Amino acid sequence: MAGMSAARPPGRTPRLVPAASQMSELPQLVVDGLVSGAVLAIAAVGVSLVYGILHLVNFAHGDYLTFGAYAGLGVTALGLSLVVATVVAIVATAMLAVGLQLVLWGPVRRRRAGLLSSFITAIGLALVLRHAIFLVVGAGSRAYPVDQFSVERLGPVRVSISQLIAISLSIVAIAVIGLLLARTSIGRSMRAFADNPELAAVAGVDVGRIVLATWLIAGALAGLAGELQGLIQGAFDPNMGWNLLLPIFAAVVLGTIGNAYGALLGGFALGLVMELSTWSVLGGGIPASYKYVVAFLALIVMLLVRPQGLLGRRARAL
Amino acid sequence: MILPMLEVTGLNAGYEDVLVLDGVSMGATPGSTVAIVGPNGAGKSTLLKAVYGLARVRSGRVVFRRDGAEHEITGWPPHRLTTLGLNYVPQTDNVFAALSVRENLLLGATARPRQAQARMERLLIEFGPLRAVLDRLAGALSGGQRQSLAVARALMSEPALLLLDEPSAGLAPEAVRTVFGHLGRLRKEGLTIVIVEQNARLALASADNAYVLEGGRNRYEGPGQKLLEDARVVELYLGGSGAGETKHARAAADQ
Repeated sequence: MAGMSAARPPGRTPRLVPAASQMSELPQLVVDGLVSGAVLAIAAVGVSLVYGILHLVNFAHGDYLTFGAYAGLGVTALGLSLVVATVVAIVATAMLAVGLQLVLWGPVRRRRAGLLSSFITAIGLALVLRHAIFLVVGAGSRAYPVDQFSVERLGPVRVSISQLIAISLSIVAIAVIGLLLARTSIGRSMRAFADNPELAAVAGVDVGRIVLATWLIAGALAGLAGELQGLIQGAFDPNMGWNLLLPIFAAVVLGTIGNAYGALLGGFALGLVMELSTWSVLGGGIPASYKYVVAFLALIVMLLVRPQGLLGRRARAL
Repeated sequence: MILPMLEVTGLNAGYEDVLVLDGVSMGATPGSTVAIVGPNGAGKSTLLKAVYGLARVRSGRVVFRRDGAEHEITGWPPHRLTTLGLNYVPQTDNVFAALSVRENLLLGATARPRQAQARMERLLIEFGPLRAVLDRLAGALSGGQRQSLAVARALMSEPALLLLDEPSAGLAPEAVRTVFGHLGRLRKEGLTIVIVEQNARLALASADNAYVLEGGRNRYEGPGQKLLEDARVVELYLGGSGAGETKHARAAADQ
């Protein structure tokens, strides 16, 4: 702390301990970090499942989020409630993901495309999706009809309605996905398939069903994450998901590639790191626009110190 | 005459661009144990994989008969074969290392999910030592426990025909005895077993019928006991000096 206060800009009284006002920033930053971390987490789980089960790096995942955000927005534009919008965002994006498996990823897989060609296909898909959305909705910013200035006070923390919706729905989604993976037979089959696809098929797991289930889940989570990101961000445009893609990937890597629980953890960790980096105690705080830079610094440090990720085993070959 | 439960006719199969099996035929009558032996690279494992839809079949026929029905199963995907009443224990990677022993067993019942729990309880009587490690990750088991789990996982689908690829590979003599003890009991219960073994003496001694493969082709066939006494087979594939026993004795001494 002493070293950091020495680096403080002149004009302020150097302090050896954070001032009371600085300490009071902390709970707010933690809450903001948890909210953005939760959204990152549910998006990252989808990427991680798709990678772990299908061995596909879905570069278009961010644009699945954008699709979900606009699907929900379209419903609210019809005057329907946010609840209906959420359901539509989830279902429509799940359908998009399954549809793309049927018309794109299935055929690509049958032609035995390698990791690199699939990856480049995904980049192409990302561009096509993003620009298709631009074409339909235009380049302007939009926002959900939620009062961004309506704020609840919970002790020292102010939480907007959007943030409340985002954190509670994320927690529900995380609980559902956790139970699904850990306790249901489809979840068990998915984990088995990720562990040993050939043996899973021998044990009686229908590979085609697992592939569709994976996309269904990843798409549903992307739709929800897209809507929630749109909510907490306030105004958003068709670049929203694309801009979020690299933090999502960082969360996946941070939590160990292909490990769904790791991706959750990575999402929250990254959300917290990004928000806390703006804390004024840390050398006056890093400007908020540099949050993503901090996210990648965290990732690089992580890769140097613990390359297998938070939940990885050291010797595991990926 | 009893028709074979599994009948392979003129199978040509391999991987990608490599052809390993060159017109292999074999059969297993219901309730019999059939051993497939032969030198390294003879195509023994590929034969099992080709039957189970895990190797590429170029030509030939695989037929499975059960309860009077005949199914041409050439090239079927593995999960359909498992639903039909076959199962297969690969030589390596034959458990889900990242899943618990319990989950491994329950996954074995994917094709027949009804009363999986009760079936698991029944199997745990036979495979007693697994009960103590039910919640441990399968990747943390010893070689012998792993092999027992692999066999138990396969039995969870209540197969009529079990294909086993080198169940004794890499196991200590004690564990080999345990695994072959299981197989002996399954045989008595009427399960049809096709077993590929490097340890040919052990396999021939416990088989009703055996096939010797070499270079992807059928070489000899006959009752296991008879092949064991056949001078040509002994000389060519079992080692004239009784190398099998020597190896066994050495492994036992290492213990």
